[in-house]
Amino acid sequence: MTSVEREAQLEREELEADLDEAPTQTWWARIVLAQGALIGLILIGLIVGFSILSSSSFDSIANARNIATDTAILLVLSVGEAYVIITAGIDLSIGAVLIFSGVVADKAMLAAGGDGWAVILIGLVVCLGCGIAWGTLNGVLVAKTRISPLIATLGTFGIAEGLAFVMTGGVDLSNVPMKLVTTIGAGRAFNQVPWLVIIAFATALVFGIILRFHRFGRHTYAIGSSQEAALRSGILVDRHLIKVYALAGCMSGLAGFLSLARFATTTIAGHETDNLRAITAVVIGGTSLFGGIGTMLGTVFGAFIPTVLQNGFVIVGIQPFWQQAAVGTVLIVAVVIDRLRRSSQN
Amino acid sequence: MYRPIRGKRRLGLAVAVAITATVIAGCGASSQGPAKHWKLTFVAGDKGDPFYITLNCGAVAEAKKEGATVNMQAPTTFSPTDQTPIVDAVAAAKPDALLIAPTDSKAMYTPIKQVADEGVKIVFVDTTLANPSMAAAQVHTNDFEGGQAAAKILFGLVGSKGKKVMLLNFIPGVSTTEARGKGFVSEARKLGLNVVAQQYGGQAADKSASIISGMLAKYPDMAGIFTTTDFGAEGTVTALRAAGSLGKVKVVGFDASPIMVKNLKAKDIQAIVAQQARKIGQVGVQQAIRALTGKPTTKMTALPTLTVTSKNINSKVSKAVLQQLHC
Amino acid sequence: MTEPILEARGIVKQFGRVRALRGANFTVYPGEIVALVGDNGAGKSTLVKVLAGVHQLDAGEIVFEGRSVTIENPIAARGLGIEVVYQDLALAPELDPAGNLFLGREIPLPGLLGRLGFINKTEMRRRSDEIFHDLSVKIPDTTAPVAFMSGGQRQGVAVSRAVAWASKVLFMDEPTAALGVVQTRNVLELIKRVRERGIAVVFVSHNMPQVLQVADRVEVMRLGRRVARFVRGAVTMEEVVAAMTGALKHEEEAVK
Repeated sequence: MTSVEREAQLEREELEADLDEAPTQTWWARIVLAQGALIGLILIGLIVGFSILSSSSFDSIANARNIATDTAILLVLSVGEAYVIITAGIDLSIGAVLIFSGVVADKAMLAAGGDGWAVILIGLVVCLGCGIAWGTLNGVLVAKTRISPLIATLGTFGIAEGLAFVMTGGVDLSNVPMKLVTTIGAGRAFNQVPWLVIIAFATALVFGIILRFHRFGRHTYAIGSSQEAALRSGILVDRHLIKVYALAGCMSGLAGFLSLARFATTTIAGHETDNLRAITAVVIGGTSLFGGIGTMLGTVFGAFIPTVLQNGFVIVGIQPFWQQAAVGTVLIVAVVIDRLRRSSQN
Repeated sequence: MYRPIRGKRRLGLAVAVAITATVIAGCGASSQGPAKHWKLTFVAGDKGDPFYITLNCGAVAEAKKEGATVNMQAPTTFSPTDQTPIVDAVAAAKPDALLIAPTDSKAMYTPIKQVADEGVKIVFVDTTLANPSMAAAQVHTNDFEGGQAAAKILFGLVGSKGKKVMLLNFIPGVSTTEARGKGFVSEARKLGLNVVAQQYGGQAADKSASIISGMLAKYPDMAGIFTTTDFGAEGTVTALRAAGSLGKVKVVGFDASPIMVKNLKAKDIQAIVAQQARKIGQVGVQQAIRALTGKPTTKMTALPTLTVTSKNINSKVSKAVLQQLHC
Repeated sequence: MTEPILEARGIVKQFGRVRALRGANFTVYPGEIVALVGDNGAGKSTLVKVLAGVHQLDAGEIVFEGRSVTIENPIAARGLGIEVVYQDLALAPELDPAGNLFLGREIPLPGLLGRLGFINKTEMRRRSDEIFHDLSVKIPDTTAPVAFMSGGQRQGVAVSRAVAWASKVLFMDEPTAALGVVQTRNVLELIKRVRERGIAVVFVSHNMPQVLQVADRVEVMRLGRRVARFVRGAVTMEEVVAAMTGALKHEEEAVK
């Protein structure tokens, strides 16, 4: 083979290699392989499975309503956590910010006195305000100092939780206006859909739309994908990161408000593992801890899977410890499937 | 020629395996009782707690006599945030009766009411609600009396009036432990003991240990400690050992869990005021069956405690109150 | 004689104890291809970054279209019409080609939605497809994330991004360093097409044969300053290499 022929041969091989590496996909393959869709499949599989095993005790409107209500607060937390993880960061402080906000709001509503919508509004504003404040602190720590998000938010987790315990002396406060508990906490729209569920889904919808169709979402993905690229494109990365962590804090505050409405008490002892649960939900939903990838739809499915598992196991009569093992298994399976999906596209 | 096909096949297989595995994992768990036999569910206060495990053993044994079954579930932590989803699931499962130890006297009202509205008979065991009207029966230990018994035995151990003693309690607001604390303090003061501190150690042994260490430093002549939970007792023993005061400072614990019994035999603690966990489970099931068969129930049963010391630990009576980790 | 579009005069840049640029000069005329060559450590990348606004000069002057300017950051450079394709491409792997092209400069939807910040994905995709077509950059699936593309395709996206926005000068740092034979040829063709659009291209390279193949002029750097300038056709590879290693000094004005 002459050198000219060899060059031509190499050229052809390289050309084929180029074409091979980026094949087009059929539309159905794209849907199936879409992020979150697979997790949706797993979720449906679980629902069907439990319905069969429980001789249909599992599938009733009332149970679906309960599952949705049980998932609502976790979903709100997961919305904020999703944004943070997509930037390749992490927020461990969410459970603590939740109870801190609840505690401060409880005291504020007690000080304001009464049982009307004005008081409830005060509670909401205080909750969101506390959440945004903690979130902004997280964002500043992550963006301006060299501290990793893991360490920074672990620190604020401890501080927020500690302060919450100091403010309450370790005893739950329950100065929640009854109106809040009966309307948002236990009330339903059209007598069917609990307000907690509506608020949680509305939050996921709004921030899902922003994530997918708004500049803010696009920049969030970009920063997670390559902070260098984002910087060089003129995106103000520091400012954006602060906003993202502030958003997560805001969600924690909202979750604190909803928790007060649901349980009528600050539940300071019950949120130690909220951060891990939200992270699990987000990751099961197809978001990568390395950033740049993830969808809100996947997060919604991911938030439901642990609740569905626990609910189904209790109904079918499986021992409680198996539930934890099951959630851990689903997490690993979800991540493995996500890997396979990505390498099958590559 | 296109690599993706292989990848997609692997992928499809993985998904199929995942779903199948999940469904299979659920198989074999559905209870297959013969018809007409009562199905009871017991929702404990937290997981891995010897008290509730023993309670469950008593419940299961009693249920077997009547041909009924008991399904035990438990939240990860003693909190309504963890217990509510479980109770919600019970509302869908609709057992014939629910035995439950509510983790919050107010927050658990709505979820348990939902279960009651489905026609499920409710029996509160151990803790209760502020508004227990939905329950067919309540069964618990007479905690106040238990606290008093603790004060009596501690007085005997420290020897005389005026001695300094302290209370190490659980979490504020839990009805059972609060009652124990109140009973102890009132009886101790009546007997002439000097109750210098009342602290809350929570669910953590290490937090209890630091509290006790602090108290020993503050009151070097501390003579006795009553702790209302076994987390508290673990922490107390640790702190006393570190201070070299084991045996010198008298300790009375609550609940005869295996660890507490070990401590008692090792003479690190001197007495245990024991709940009759098995009996609570037994009576709870009895009351539930009575409600199911239309017989009148006893609204409130308060069982007395039993004091266990190294002297009577091997007696048959004491053996009945020792807690177990398996049935 | 045409005026240079961009000139660096006596740039000094120090990083701690390291003096990367010691009075470096550089000239690029409109619509030409200039190769910036030199051995490792000669200061080529630093000079590019100073002209692109990534680093700030310690002393010296930058003249753009006859006016003295300060370039405080990459945005300022872009404002002048200067774009850079870095050696690491600075692409966001998880975004698609259109997403990368319009990163930081997303096209808003028309009307109220656009003012609220919602982006027009269809329009961005359409325009980027246009640019790819104009530059003959072949990308089979423009909806796939850039991470799934070959090195050559990624280079194509990075260059297209710079060309889409560059109106005056395009800097390319080692554009063919990681590419195979066919892909390299594509990139060199691409550089010529960029010049055809009237944009001056400055590319930094180690690869002498490529340089002499494509560049109109060559400027050689050594130890933080310019040591030689050559015009294509009037120089051999040996002479360039000699200038790089210091064996030859050839600071002759290159006349167009």
